[in-house]
Amino acid sequence: MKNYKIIISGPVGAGKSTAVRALSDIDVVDTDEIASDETKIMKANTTVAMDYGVLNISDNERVHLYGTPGQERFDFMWDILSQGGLGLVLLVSNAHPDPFDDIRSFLQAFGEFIGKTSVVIGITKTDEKASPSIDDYHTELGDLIRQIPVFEVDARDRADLVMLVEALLLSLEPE
Amino acid sequence: MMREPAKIKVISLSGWREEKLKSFFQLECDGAYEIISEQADLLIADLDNFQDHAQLTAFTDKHPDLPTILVSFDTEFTRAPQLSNVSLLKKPYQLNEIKKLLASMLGAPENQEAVTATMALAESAGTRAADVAALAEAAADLAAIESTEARAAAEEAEAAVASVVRESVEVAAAASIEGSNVAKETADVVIAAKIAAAATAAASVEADEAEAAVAASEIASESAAAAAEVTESRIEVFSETVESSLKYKSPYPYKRADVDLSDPKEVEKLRYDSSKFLYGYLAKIAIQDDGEELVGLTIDKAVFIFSSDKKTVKINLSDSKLYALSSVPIYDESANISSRLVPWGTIVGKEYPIKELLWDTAIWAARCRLELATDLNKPVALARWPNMTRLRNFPHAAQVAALWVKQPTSLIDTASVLDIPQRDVFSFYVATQAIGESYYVADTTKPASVTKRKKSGLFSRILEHLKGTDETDEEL
Repeated sequence: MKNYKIIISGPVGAGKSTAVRALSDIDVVDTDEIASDETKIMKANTTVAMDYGVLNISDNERVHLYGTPGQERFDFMWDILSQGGLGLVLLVSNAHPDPFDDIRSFLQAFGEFIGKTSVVIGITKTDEKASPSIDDYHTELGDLIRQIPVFEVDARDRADLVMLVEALLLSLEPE
Repeated sequence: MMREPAKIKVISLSGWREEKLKSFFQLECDGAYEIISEQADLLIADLDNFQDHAQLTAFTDKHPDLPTILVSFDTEFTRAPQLSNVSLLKKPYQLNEIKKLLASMLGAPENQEAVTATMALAESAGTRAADVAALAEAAADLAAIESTEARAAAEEAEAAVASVVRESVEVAAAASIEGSNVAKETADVVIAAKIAAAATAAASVEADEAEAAVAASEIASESAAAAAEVTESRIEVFSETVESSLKYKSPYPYKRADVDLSDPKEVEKLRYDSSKFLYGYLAKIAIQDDGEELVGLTIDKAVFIFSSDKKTVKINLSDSKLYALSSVPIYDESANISSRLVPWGTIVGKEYPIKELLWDTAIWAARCRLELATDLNKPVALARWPNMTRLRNFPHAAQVAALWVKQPTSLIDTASVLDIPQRDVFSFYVATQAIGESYYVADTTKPASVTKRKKSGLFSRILEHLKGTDETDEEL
């Protein structure tokens, strides 16, 4: 059996667990716990280790989907989970106070991994808060994200997520 | 000395009819008449608009001797007020009938010289014939989908409309001899009748597909009925034909085959002028500076209102009608860009983000062709990935985006490198141009490698699994 993995990361409340659920062929294994820190302001439960899903590509090929915990205090998990990954799907909530800074932080935290692979960015919850727009992200972040696919996504919508994964894989295609 | 234009007041005419009349007075009557609101020399009123009947009665009570033309579908003109100098005109009528009545009731305008009018008419009819040819091409392209039956229908349609073009020219010639505007209107009626004939032909070709045949027959029937009022129903006829007969559901229902791009004649056939299409008008408004004003565009009965920040457009059309309107050339006289403040809330319709609207209308106008100025050999770069989850997707768009964002590549080489149909490359280029996200790279050095990209088996299999289709053979 050949195993591959795609990492789905982003700050708390960006929709990572929902995205893994929308893509996975199996019931997702999660490590949700009742939120006990500042996270509980945003939601009741939060992922403390990882969300896990699978794409069964063929009888002998499987893609594992790993959703990382969002809080920075679990960032030791990010390195562990990303080892050997094909690439990173970064989800950022438009409803957060400073989504630009979220992107900067995560691109920096995953810098080494992204340097070897690739990254796509999904902006979630634009239905809750329409601003900033995708144009605003490009204006604010400029060259940092110029070559990165940045799409509005609904983490519940499989089609949006498939487009993100497609862009990730196409970004990885050999020149 | 030119005589002052006669002043015409209109009551109860719909906005687009009034606009038509204005254009007609200006272009076909050499400005001999103008529409005003007060102190008119003559009144034109539509009796079929019940809401305005009180206004009409109030006006005619005050001006019982004013020369008046009343129009109505009612052959008895039962609602006509008692007036001393009135002419009755049954609907549907031709604008030339209005012109004749005006001449008889107000006297012929001095500046209507027969030769000038005849020449203008011939030119106008010739232009119309060219537009019909474009319409024929659009109809043929739209028909060329998926099945050989549909292709056969397209050939029928093309032949039928080619016949229309010939007839239009003949009619135009007759017009130049007789000096009569009747020819132009007749040509319009013939065009619509032939569109109906094409739809009928499509229906018979698809006769073994019962459902499609019924739908197409209905459209043919509707089209034939619509022939009586061509100028009003041209778009609807085309729209419904597209909707029922041509299964427009695909992102773009065309399968334009690859052509030999080294053959100038083949390349020439790919060219089109976007300024003649809805996209051209919308793009013009999108980039012009109107300050804080709302700007509106009307084309026949279609209304487009831009928000003051130009980021949103409100449209009173269904998606299928928008598609149909986007796919055919627009007659200049039917499009009207107005900078008058239009109350946003008064339009009932869908709100389109401007980028989505430009993206869609550009693709639909292009029909897998290329703008006149497109250079097939210059490397094209992408400023950034378009927001592809919110823009209409079509085959291989993401592949082209991934290439251009990293490696500027000419249109010719892109199709070759990615081993994908030219139509998908051209469409993506047209769409990204429309939203300002692709551009030529100054350095015309060819990419180091224009060999075909290796397809990653694993990535293809992952995408195939996620999409439930064979990505590599994705078709419309």
